[in-house]
Amino acid sequence: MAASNADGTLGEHVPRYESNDLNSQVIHIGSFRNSWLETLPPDLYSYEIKSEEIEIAQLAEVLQIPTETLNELKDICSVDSLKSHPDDQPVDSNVVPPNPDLACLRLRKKRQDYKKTLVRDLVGRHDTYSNEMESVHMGLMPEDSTSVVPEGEIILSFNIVYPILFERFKHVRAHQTMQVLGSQNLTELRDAICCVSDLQVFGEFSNMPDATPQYISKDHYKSAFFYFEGVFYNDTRYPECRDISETTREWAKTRDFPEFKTAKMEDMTFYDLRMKIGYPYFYCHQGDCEHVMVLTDIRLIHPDDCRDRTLYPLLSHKHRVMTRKCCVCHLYISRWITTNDRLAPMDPCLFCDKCFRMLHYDAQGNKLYDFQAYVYVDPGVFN
Amino acid sequence: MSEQLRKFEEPLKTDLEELLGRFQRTTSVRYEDFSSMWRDMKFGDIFHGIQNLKEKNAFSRIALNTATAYFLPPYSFQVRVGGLYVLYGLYHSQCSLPKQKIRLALKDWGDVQAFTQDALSSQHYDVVYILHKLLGTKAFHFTAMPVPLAFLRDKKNQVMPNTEAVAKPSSRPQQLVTTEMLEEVANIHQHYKQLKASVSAQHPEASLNLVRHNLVPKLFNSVMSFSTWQNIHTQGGEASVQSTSLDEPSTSSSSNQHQQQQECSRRADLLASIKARSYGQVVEVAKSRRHRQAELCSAGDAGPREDPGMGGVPGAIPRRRRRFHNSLRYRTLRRLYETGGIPEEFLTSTKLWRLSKADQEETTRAIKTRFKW
Repeated sequence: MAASNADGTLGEHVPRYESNDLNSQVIHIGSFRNSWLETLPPDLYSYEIKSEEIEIAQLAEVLQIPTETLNELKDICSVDSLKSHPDDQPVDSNVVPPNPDLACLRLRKKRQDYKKTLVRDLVGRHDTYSNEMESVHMGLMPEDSTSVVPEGEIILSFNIVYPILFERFKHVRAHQTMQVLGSQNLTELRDAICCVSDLQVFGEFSNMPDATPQYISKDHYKSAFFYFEGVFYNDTRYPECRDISETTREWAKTRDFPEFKTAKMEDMTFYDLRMKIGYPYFYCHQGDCEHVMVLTDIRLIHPDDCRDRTLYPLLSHKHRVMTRKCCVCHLYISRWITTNDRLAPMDPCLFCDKCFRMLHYDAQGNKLYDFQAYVYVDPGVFN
Repeated sequence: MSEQLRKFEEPLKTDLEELLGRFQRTTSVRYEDFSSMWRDMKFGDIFHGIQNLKEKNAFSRIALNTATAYFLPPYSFQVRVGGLYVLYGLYHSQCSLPKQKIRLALKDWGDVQAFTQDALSSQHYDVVYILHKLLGTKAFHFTAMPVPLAFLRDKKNQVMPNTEAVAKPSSRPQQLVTTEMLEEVANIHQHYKQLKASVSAQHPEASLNLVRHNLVPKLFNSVMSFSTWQNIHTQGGEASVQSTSLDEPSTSSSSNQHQQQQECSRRADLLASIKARSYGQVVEVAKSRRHRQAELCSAGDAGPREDPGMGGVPGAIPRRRRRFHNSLRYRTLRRLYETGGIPEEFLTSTKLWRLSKADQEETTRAIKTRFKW
């Protein structure tokens, strides 16, 4: 009988829970991948599915039994043995079967019975397509074969939480989930994170509503950093990028914290990182827009994942934000925000483009009275 | 979505333990027995009844994660075989698209290998066949941790399942005191005695006798008696477990626990009855505060009702549920009404479609109950 795995027999790169059962201890991602690739036979993580004859031949070798026994085994253990209804009586799987014995089915039947009592049972339009994001990337192969993800690659899933967290809505953690490949740089993840503060346009435009400038904050303030396990990874690709982690590091020196290191974001791939799984880390851009990031999962790539390298980092889940509509028509999403406006019902007030121009400008485009107007980018723009 | 589906964790565990309990009672590891039980319980229908695909996927993930726990140590070999068959059954009966995979963490892969070796050496060919079939259809995700972790601190503390009844008995003393170890100790003991004899020429002093004379035989005997006691203990436990389900208490230690549980529930019942009695009585306030009479509402009341029906201020004032905090608008209107500033009609808003109803018609609101799992 094999002995149970004591801690000493596990390698040092095997992730285990830390004492609090919420996150793992610090692991080096590249070594984790190597540990898996060493112990697994290659055909287990390859993309191709073996044909039946090869499989049977291999099994006969491993089990060392005659082929008749193997065929008998195949018949007994086939998938048909699990079917509870014969093939000629198809059963609707969207309905709970009558008189359920299983506890889960009884729970579901409660909801089904409740829905029958409703006069109108409307399916929300967002629920119809709620799975779209995952299903569209299933097993996707690229056009040219050079950008296929190789076998044995690892996929990391990050939850990036939205920056502003109201006390009232803390029970819902609004996040977007990105999947990245282990061989990608940190900069690719940084570019793929969609945050509304990147799209802000500065400047007061009441005098020239038609002349919105071409730049957005993303082009203007290019500095950003990630913080993982005591190291600040700064983005230094452009000459305008500054080390915004410097302030934090200097403050930490005065306060008895251990020394924090820095590194360049574009030189690091995810394989080189040391991180804890399930532990909150930090991403800061635009100087003060801060996001909490959690690495939720690391796993080997599977044939059902998207195999097109150019599509990574992949957005696999996004929290849907309610968009704010114009205060006049309540129909269109607002694009202008005005202050000190004596005709507006409240201060500040949101307007869509049409209503804004109708209220504040005449047919020739002259400003009718005194007010301030700024460009408003709604957080729901990424929906 | 995931909070909704957390309600399914308990029923899932119940169903899985029912199935595995039945399988364990047959004391066999053959797939045929398992599949006949599966068909009997119609376990494949556990995925039925979900309309939208996202929920189907999420439920399959939860089901597979819960079942994987039974495939890994510390459960006994038979339960692990049952767990493997359950995983096979769940993977192939799921209605999700893409098929949700079984998560296997790196730390558990060694246990899986050991398990396969055991099955192969004991010639349980169907176990090995099923495992190979699952690996061949790429049913596994090779991951770092068994479940995706998102630092969800507000998850309620989950009680560890009581695996004592089905876990392997610990064999640490036997592992420590092996025959080689005993030989070595006997050797060292011999050397020590010789050394003591050589140091003092005559009969060695009594004060130098720090070690037992018959150390090695005594050690061996105590370990043997411990292992026989363990076997008797667990056999007695196992025999009764086979006749009952996994959760029922069988030995005296677990019946003690049962008694303790009964005591705890009696105390809880007592506390609950005291609280119910105290909250069931409404204290009458002084006449000067007649307008703020306390009223007994049950928690299951629906929204604003037209008729009060209970004690308090006369008149058709809509009350609110005790759990909601009334909005500023409602509180202002109430206060204005009570001080006599506004007439009663101002408290309820007029429904547009009711403007055309006749004066004598009374429309009763259909009380719409919210669905709770």
